[in-house]
Amino acid sequence: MTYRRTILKGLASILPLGLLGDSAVCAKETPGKAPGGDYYRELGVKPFINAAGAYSALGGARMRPQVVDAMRYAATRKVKMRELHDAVGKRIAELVGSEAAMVTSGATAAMVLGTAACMTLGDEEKMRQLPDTTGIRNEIIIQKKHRYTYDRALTVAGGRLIEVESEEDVRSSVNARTAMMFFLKPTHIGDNIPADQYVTLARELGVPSFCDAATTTPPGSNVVAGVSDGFDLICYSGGKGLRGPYSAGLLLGREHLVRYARQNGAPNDISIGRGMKVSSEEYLGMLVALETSLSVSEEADFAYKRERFSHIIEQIADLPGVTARVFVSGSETNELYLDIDWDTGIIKLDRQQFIDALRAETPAVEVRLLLFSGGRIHLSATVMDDGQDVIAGQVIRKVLLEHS
Amino acid sequence: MVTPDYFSDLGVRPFINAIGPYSSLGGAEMWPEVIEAMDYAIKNKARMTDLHDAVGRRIAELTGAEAAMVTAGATCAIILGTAACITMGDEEKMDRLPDTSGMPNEVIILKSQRYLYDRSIRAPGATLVEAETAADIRAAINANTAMLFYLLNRPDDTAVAIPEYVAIAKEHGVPIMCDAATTVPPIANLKSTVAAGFDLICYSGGKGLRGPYSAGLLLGRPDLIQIARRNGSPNHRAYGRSMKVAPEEYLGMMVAVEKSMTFDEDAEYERQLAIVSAMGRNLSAMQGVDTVTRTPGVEAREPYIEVHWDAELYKTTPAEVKQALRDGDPSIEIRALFLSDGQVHLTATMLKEGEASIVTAGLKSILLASAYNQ
Repeated sequence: MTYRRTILKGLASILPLGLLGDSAVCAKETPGKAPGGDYYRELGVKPFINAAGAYSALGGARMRPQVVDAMRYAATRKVKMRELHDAVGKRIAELVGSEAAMVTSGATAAMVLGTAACMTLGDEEKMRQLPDTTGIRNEIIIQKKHRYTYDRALTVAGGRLIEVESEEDVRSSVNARTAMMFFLKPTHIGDNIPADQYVTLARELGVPSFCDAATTTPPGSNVVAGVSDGFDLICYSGGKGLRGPYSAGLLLGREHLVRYARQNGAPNDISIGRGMKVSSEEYLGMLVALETSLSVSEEADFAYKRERFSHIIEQIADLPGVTARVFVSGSETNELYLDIDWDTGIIKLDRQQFIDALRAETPAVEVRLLLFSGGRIHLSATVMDDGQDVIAGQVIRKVLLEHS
Repeated sequence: MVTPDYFSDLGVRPFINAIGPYSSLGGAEMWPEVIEAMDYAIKNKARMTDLHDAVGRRIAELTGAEAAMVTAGATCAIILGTAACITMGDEEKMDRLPDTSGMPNEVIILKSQRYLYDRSIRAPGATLVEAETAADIRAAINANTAMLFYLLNRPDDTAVAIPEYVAIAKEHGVPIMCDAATTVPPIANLKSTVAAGFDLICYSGGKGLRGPYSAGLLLGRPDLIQIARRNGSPNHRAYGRSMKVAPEEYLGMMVAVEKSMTFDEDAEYERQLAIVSAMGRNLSAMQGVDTVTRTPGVEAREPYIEVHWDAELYKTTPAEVKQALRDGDPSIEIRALFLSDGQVHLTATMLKEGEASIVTAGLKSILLASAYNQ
């Protein structure tokens, strides 16, 4: 930490910070041993290299150094939580062009609190009563193509999902119990009703619209673009593409709805969301993560990842039957991936066996084989530190060779 | 990297905390060791499940509990523990919360222990059933009873003593949860509460234990802790997925418990007592002002002074004094509302060097102004 700070201070005196670029900063971010000891070794926690991506189960993203620094600043200086949240929210709203903004304990919390806001609309009795929705509007309109794992969050505060497939469905479903119209982006199978039409329809019907855009970063500029879509509320994950704190997220949108969402969350004691605590370092860290994401160039980010991938490829390029290819994902999220494949006639290993073998190594290497990657082996360098690339390449080489 | 002065840039004012480590004021000062451990976990990634397993085992060893988990705070511990008792691990039921139809969802609570946070017992879909005596509790238990609840900082031995309450729970095979959020220090309270036989115990992490602000502990029976974990983050479709806990919070919480176990609490108590006593002497020197030094019995062991004044002489109320100090420069927070039965209380837990005299000077000038304004 001290080492990195010194280096950066030296560079910063020569260059404006913006020109330093992300890779210059990240290159000095090496895993280190804290003065307190090597906790993971003492605890018997197996080290692993995350070549899969910023998944929650794998500890999320690598926070940017600026974020870590800001969190450390906030950890040792106490201020009133509400005052800090007001100031951070105001600044975030300015940055992204929304009426208002709040920091939540993740994108899921943003969905729960946004739903609770639309259900209770600031009525304190109703807020206390949740999740009992007697006399409270609790129907959430959702497009059939938008049903997904996390729609579970819409029911946590007491909401009930009403599926629709067309504009006519929406018109006939909206009634006095309708609380919110939900939208998910992006999906692999598209939408039943496109975003612009859905937003217009929600306005016409007087129903608040909510968009889950949790996974649509990087780049950070997608947040600004998302806000301009015109949804009344839109949420983002903080600890993934924006490289902010792990247990933080953003809820952006209309001033009154964000205010109601805050009333339904911590530290308000009567709220349904009192359990979703956000610390002052997370408030500040989230702001700095967003600021940095908006100022850092995507090219620097890509250059960093390309370099990691080239170090992995160097380790396996000479293996017969093995192909490795770097590509940019075609989806809204601009991500760089490394696709690794092999001739199963030469290397007797199917994809799942490959993943299991990588997990059994020390350090383990986590790669992704998911719906998102179309059943192929994909590596991500999003969470990879400088130096981990070579080790990951060596582990992969070892596993492939053992089955040749 | 030169760290900007973020709070000043944002226009967020510092304040003097003479009230204590409340959540709304940012909680307690973390131990330096906790901050170091959090730095380590930020730099070194681990699988969340592996890390939580290891940290949970270590906290259980340290506290004498059978099992432990780190939550997003004491409230989160109450919510996940309640969700565990309602669903008992049934996948279909867990996926349906807070809809509890067809599940046992009644939680028995002593009428005298109804409090602000019992709201969170209801969050995953429970209904509260009030009882006033041991006989009431026995009569209230039925097939729909999911859990019995006890609030440790408001004991009511005339209703039911803890050993009897725990015995009733065992007798009926119903889990009993204890909210012990604000009962440390002393850390001895934690061990004795674990030994009392509750099935689940909830602690705040960011207060007396001086761990991460948005962390807490749920201790207790391995089967229930396991189910509570399944109901929480990072499981995708869990009821409690939104109550995220970061890897640095897992590790920071463990180190906070370790540190709290070895820390010289008596020395810290004496340090705080000396500060509040000096504040008391300072204020009592004023005509018509009287102070009493107090030590709470069941709440966290935090000495404080109670400040009284002659209402004939000083025409102001505790609530007005609290507001005036808050509006002052620097802003000062003191305890003077329902939490202290309307009395003015001053504590030293969060006071920094030199702040005690600013607090007493501020209080004096407000009292004097009220005398002159008659």
